[in-house]
Amino acid sequence: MKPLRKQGIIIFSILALVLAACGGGTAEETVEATSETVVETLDSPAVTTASSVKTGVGVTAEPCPEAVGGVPTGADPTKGCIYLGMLNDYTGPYAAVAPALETAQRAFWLWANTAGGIGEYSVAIVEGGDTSYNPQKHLEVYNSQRDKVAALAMSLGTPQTLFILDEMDKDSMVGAPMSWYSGWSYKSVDKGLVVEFGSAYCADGMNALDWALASLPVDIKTIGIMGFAGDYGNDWAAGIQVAAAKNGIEVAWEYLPPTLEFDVAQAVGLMVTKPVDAYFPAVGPTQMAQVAGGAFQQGLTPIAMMAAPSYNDAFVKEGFPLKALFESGAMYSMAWVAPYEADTTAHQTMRATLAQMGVESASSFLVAGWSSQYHLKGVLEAAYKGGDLTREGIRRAAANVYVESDGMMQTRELGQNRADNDSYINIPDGSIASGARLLAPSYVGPTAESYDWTSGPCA
Amino acid sequence: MTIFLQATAEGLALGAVYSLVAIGFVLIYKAMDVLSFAQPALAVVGAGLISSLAIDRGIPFWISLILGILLTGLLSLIIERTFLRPMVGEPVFSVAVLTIGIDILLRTVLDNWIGLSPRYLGDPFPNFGNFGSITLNGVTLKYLEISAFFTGIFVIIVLSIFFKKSKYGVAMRATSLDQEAALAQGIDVGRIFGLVWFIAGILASMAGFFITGGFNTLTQFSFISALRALPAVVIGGLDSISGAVVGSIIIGLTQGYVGYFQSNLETLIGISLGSGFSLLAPYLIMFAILLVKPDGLFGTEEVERV
Repeated sequence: MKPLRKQGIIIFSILALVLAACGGGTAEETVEATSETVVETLDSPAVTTASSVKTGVGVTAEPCPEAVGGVPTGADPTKGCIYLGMLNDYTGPYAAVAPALETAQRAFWLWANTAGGIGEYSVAIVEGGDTSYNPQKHLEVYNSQRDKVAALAMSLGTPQTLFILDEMDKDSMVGAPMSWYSGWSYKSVDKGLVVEFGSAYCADGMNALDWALASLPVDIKTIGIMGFAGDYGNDWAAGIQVAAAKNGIEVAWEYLPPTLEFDVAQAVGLMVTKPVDAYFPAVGPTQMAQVAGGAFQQGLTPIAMMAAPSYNDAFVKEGFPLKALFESGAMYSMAWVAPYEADTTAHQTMRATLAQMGVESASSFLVAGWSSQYHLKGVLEAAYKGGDLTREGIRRAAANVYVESDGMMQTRELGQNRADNDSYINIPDGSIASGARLLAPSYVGPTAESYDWTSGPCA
Repeated sequence: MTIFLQATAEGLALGAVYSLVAIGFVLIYKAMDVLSFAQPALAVVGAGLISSLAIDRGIPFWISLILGILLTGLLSLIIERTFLRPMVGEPVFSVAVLTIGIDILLRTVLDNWIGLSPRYLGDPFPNFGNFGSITLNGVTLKYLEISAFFTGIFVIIVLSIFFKKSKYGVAMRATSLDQEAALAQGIDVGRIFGLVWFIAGILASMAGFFITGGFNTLTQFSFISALRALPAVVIGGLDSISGAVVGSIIIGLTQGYVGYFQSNLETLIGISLGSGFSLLAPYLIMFAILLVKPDGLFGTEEVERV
């Protein structure tokens, strides 16, 4: 073979390898956040009661369909309809959880419509569009739905939602995220369009360290942080760094490569060469099991405070090799709400509605889907009360309204440029269907308590 | 010293796994003059088949392992017959791109099956010793990695004998040297291509098992480990099996040493090398070697008459 041809093949092969790797994984893209102040010219719609309701795109006088995608909407045939968009991932890395997220969201509106809907309107989520967790496809799906819906029931992924934010801004399209980036609480990032719910990774990071220091019988002096850069890792790490500084804890190492470049050998190597009393992983289940198991084999069992995406209930299922390790009392997981079995009114309603639909699962993704809709419901109710169900009216409502969630999350005032600061702390437990037993509900540590949450996103 | 030995042990084990994938790359390259990017996908598909048989269907693990490996070989053979055979004589770039398509196709189907929860393969390794490991003089050795190392050596020996002593092995060597001459000598080149893909599929699935066995588990990201064998092939020389093995060990050791010593090195030189350096380092070594030996350490040097 000609040398030039062989070199050409080598160069081509390397380029193709990079392309193939990027195409198959969760390549992250970030969009520089622009600063724009939403002008709030109206009083809070939540405290205003209008006699007539102005409507716009995505709101019809005709009733909602009885069912969408085979799931009943519970819509009242005598009422009009508010349509919500759905940007879901049916073929990408979150394809496996897409049905649970969507089922719970449709179940939520089935319950909400049955309970009276939004004034003279019921709510229906349109057929979901497949974003593949790819920002470009996310935009394509958004474009296909933008003329049909009044708001988005779900926009899955932080980088993906950032990617379409300018378009949402043009349309005044409000939406619920399916991610917990601290930036969603600040207009400088989300332009007042993203209706966040639950605590962000940043607050979870602060609370994870504070809680471990206060509650565990281990003298924690040094810690390590690992996570995926460009996604939830940065927000998480920023929170832990703040808590470590406040508590005088030494951060021995911080390992934050992009998702596809995460090297388990290096993560374990760091734990071996620079042992710590506790580590704080914000990785995926694959990396979590390998890192925890690899360290344990070398005699290392530091406390692990896992960010929500790191933990998977498969770790404590019968037959999983590391079940004993995950249930040893050295591992803990953070969450934005209590697990499926929790005893709040919202959890009870969720379980009853899902049971009525024949859903037999205690997946945390069902909780994620259900909890994501509460604040959006509060925004729609406020817009209706304000007599303006146009997108602009919904946007104004989202900029200044109290929303509650039947005890699932704290009552929150949207549009105040400050993130929630409470977290839920669980311990892995295979005897519970969700695989997580709640240890500390709505925990706010000293760091998160004293942190200036008006200072903007953590990362 | 203990940490050095630990890093060496882990590097050698990684190298052994990479070598199984790398040999598959080389076999296909030698026979068809093209790099198959479907190898990483075949590795994780093999692991998926083993998991499906052992966990979902309850077939004893060792039987599942053998069946999974053979089925992956068969799948590889079918891929060759279905997608690759019509491409014989077409530009190698087209064929390489086709293998990328096959890789994406296989992984998309597999990812849908895997879902978000890690898949356990049902192997008994984690039950041996200390969660599947033994400690000797302070160095922790994992049974799965020890098995990978000896499996790698075994495969190399078997392949060496196969190429030298068996009829089909000799035919494969002849085909890799000159397809037209091999055809003229009565060798069924098409059958040789199929055999090459069958063997490559078997090797890939073995690597897939060692990548995802124990508590490593099979997830949507497992294929990345198999992809890391590619620089090993380039370092060793695209057409050299022994080169693939040496290249794999170089890659594995580099990854192991950087993983364990990067922070010390950074302290020493006072410069941060970055979070992803352990995966970048093998490519730096590859670039350095290609500058000196463009055909790789063991690749056949080509002489061109101008």
